[in-house]
Amino acid sequence: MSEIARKVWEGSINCIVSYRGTECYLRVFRNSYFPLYFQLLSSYFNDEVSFLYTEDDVPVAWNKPIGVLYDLMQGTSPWRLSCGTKADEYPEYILPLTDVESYWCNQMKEACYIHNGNSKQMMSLSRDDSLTFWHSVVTHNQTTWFRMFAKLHLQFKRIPIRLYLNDSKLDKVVQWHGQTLGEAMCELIPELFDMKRWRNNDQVSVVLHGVEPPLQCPVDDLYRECVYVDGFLHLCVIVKPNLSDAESKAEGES
Amino acid sequence: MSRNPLVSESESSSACASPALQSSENLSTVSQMHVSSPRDIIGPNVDGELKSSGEQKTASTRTNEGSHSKVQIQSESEDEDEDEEEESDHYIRNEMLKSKITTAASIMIDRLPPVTKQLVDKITEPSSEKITVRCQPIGSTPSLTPNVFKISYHQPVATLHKFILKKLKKSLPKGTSLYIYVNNSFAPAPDEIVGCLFDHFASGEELVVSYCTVVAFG
Repeated sequence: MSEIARKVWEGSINCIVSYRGTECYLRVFRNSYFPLYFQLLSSYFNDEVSFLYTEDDVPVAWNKPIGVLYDLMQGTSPWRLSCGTKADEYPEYILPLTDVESYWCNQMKEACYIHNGNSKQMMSLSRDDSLTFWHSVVTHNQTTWFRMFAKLHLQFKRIPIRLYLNDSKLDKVVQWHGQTLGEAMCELIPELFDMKRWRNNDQVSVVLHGVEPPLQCPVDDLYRECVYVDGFLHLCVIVKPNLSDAESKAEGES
Repeated sequence: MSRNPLVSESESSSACASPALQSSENLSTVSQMHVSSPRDIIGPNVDGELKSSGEQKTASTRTNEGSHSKVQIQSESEDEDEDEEEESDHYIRNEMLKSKITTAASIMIDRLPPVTKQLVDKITEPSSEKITVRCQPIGSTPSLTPNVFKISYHQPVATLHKFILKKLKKSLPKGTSLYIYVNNSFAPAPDEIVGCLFDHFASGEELVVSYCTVVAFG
């Protein structure tokens, strides 16, 4: 396993989770799901945690990998979150919390379908293998996860990508013909990634696991190294206000 | 704040259970994914609706299609049931998922230069295109007639789920869960956009969706 894959897998975020004045300092893995920490939080706070929300009262979705949420919501370090319990009204902006295991399993099947044109490999895993696979997600065991992932015999004909633009989700799939990330982006959102227009513009960035991979990276290499735990490559496209423009305008005004 | 009647409505018809749901799950919690009717939607796409006057201190609320007012939902949802009965024969009614973004993210969107903002709006704008969905029952689950429907491109899977469940309401015991699958393979996430599923998994001109009252593909 490469150094990059190891580092990406171990990427983590420091959180301070508070509940009724009590704080819990928690380090969560980027490549994991929040509900996997609910049990720990529940026992710490001695109450049943059912959702999390940020300082400005935005509920945190449970069904995206934590790293994706952090990048999209522009989390701070440490990321300050609060707990909601069963007694609180469940926020309307996020999906109702359901079984994470079957959610994850179906995401993986979808990824498998995109690669191979069917989900047979995922469905034909033995009961033990499926359990081991899911267990490797829960325990965040990279070696086991990649061993099980290799059993899916992915063909890399197409690369499953979930693309987020600021806040909106745009699901996309890349047909892989040795494309680089930049080429793929030009194809997926030509409005933003017209190479000629945006070449010297730092307004648009593609964020993956909190870093901006160079646009020259081949997509399949990125996938191999940085795949998320659900078999997708979650790319956050962040459009930033052009700071130099804003500054020069401010200077002009002053 | 008074209770949104849409919620209670959806609770009784046990709306948008995730296909990944365990059948033991309490359906009233399951159906809490709120939706807003398309008629409530005014205004452009990315306009944030600030919750209070403390502008940048609060997060902004928006639906996928734009901002809406709560009052409108209440006044219009009363006759919703009838409407749905009338118009739902071939066409699936629009219901958007609401989303909420953090202050940090909303400030950034607000500060975008107008040209860029327009561009972003254009990309994320829901298209009016409609796609065709063919619904197939699995096993002993009752079938639908007709079984081919039109649905707007930008609808989440939850809308389709709710629709099928509503159609089957008469033939299924109350509180039955429903699981839906694409191409007999995987259960899509409830917040996945049907148009995207169509783009990637459609066979011919149709997206084939199978549904079942028990977990079909473990």
